[in-house]
Amino acid sequence: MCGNMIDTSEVVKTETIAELKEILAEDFGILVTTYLEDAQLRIKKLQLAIAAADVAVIKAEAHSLKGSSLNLGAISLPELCSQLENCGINESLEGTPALFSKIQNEFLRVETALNLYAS
Amino acid sequence: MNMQLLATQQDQKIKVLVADDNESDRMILSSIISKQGYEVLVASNGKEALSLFERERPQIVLLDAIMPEMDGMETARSIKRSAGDDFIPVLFLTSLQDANSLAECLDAGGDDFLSKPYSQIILKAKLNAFLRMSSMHSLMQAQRDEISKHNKHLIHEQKVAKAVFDNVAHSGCLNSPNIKFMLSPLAMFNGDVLLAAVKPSGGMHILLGDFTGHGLPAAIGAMPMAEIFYFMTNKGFGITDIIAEINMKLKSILPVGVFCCGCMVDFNFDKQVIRVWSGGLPDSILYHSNSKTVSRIESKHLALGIRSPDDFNTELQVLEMAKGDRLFIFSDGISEALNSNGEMFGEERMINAMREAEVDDKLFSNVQDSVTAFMGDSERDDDITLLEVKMVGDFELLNEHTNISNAGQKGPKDWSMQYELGANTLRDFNPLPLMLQIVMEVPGLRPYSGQIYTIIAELFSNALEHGVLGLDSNIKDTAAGFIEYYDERTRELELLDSGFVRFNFTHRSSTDGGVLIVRLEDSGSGFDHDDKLKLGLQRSRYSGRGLPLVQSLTDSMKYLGVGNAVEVTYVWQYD
Repeated sequence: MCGNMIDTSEVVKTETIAELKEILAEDFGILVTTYLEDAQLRIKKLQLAIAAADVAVIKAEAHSLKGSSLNLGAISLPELCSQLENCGINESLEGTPALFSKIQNEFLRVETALNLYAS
Repeated sequence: MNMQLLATQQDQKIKVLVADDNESDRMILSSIISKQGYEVLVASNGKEALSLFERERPQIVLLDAIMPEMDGMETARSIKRSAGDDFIPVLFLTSLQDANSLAECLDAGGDDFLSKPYSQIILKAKLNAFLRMSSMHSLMQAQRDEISKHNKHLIHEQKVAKAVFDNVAHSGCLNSPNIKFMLSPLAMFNGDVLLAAVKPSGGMHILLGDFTGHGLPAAIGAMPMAEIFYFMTNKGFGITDIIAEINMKLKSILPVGVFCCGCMVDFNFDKQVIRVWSGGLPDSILYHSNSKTVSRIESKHLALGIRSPDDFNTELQVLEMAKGDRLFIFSDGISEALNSNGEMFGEERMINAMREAEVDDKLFSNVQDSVTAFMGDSERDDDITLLEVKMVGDFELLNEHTNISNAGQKGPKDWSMQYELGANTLRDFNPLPLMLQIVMEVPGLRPYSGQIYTIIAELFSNALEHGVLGLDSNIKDTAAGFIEYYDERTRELELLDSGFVRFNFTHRSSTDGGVLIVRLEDSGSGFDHDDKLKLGLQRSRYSGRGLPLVQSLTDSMKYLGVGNAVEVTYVWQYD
């Protein structure tokens, strides 16, 4: 799938995007930028937390990323975040590196889709 | 109320506080909310949210459930605490899915939640709904405060009114040593009235009234009743005049369906006789001290305030009451007092309680204890009033009723007058109050009104009964005779078609008081007065006591002509 054109409607809900565009009008671009910057920051924090096995940070950051991704209409990303959040809650870090790379990949697809909508 | 309208009314926008640690989420919420016309306050964590809340006092708060620094639940609790009595809706912003977590939000004091992704339509609807609720809450609070203010005011007014009422309705000589009473107000005001007053002649009038209903509506009728009772008693009016006047007044002022059950008693301590008018109350109980037995005094009339003056029956029951005997009068609140099983206390239980009294002085407290024990904790639904009056000897009571000062000293000092009553007048008019009133105009004489009343009352009843009606006072030698005598007097008066009684008063002032000369003439044939005066001193207490009493009160007393005129001289000094 790398490098291929993606079907944005499989990554982000088109109706959510439509509503956000209506709500924010010309600020939609700013919203997208804000979300992406925030998400990148959290993903970096998650990476460090997984390496350090810091369950509290994993829980909090995954939760936050789940929420904001939901609000931006992301389809699969929130569920992946939720799984990671549960790992934090249950304090079982088995399989988290694999889950984390899924999140990274899915985030890249979301980023691509949102940038398409914003342009 | 429309929120936009409320916002403009208050001339400032409704403030909505949003706390979320995600900047993109805040952006979306802020945009939706400001589009609704509200002012948005933004915080990125719980601590910030709380301090912003305390500073800006927003009307509604949206909180992310999980935030760094203080989390949403804790923030919600702090905000609710800080809001105090005000209703500040707190809505949780959440991507939490499981029921437990959502319930936890509400347990923490949240009022609702809003799930991510945010829907513009749902957020709008929820904001409106909660602001409507909070404005209703403020309205309710304002009304609550208003009501509590009014209530305080009302209670204050009632207290003042109650003080006035008690002064009027429970005054007089209720504190006399021969009276015991119990009044238990169901409401602040009692529908029961208890009045007692010493008569100018030294006897006593008592009245127990039980108005329909309780509280203020029942108490209102008591005011004119008490006024009439005290005023007329003080002026020397008799029981029939007073009870008729009270009935007329109540009939004219009380609405239909409101009336007053009542029992009025005239105590004659001198003759040891009571005269009773009773209407609508339970039977009164007369306790005979010697035989330790009781007899009942039936209530023979309709309650006061029902019959028109023309139909009103003033017929009295005349009963002997020996010294030490006790009369119990009570309202149906006591006989109908209920216990926890819904049974009535009843008169039998009352009489049993009396029987158990070891000494007469325990009668009252026995009845009181017995009714209280009977009722236990069950709810009272009527006023409970009980009165005991003991028959005492003449002059045993202090004459407490006259303490009006003779300040000013202006008024008629030297005067004379003649007042003649014909047969038509004598039949149903008692001239004594009027006569006393005129005589009492003499400045400084008021403290002697009791003695003067006794003098003119004795002279007048002699002139009327023995002179005009020609009744034989010997009948009165026995107790039964006294009652017979009273009946005959009533009969003879009704038949009276000729005759007169003439009052002559002359007053002359002196430096330290004055001299009052009273002469009474009647149309009778007179009698051998020399004989009578001498004899009178040895007569029994039922008759003939009057003249020696008058003689003892006056400085001189003489019969004139054939004995159908008598003149007394009363010399008095300023008190």
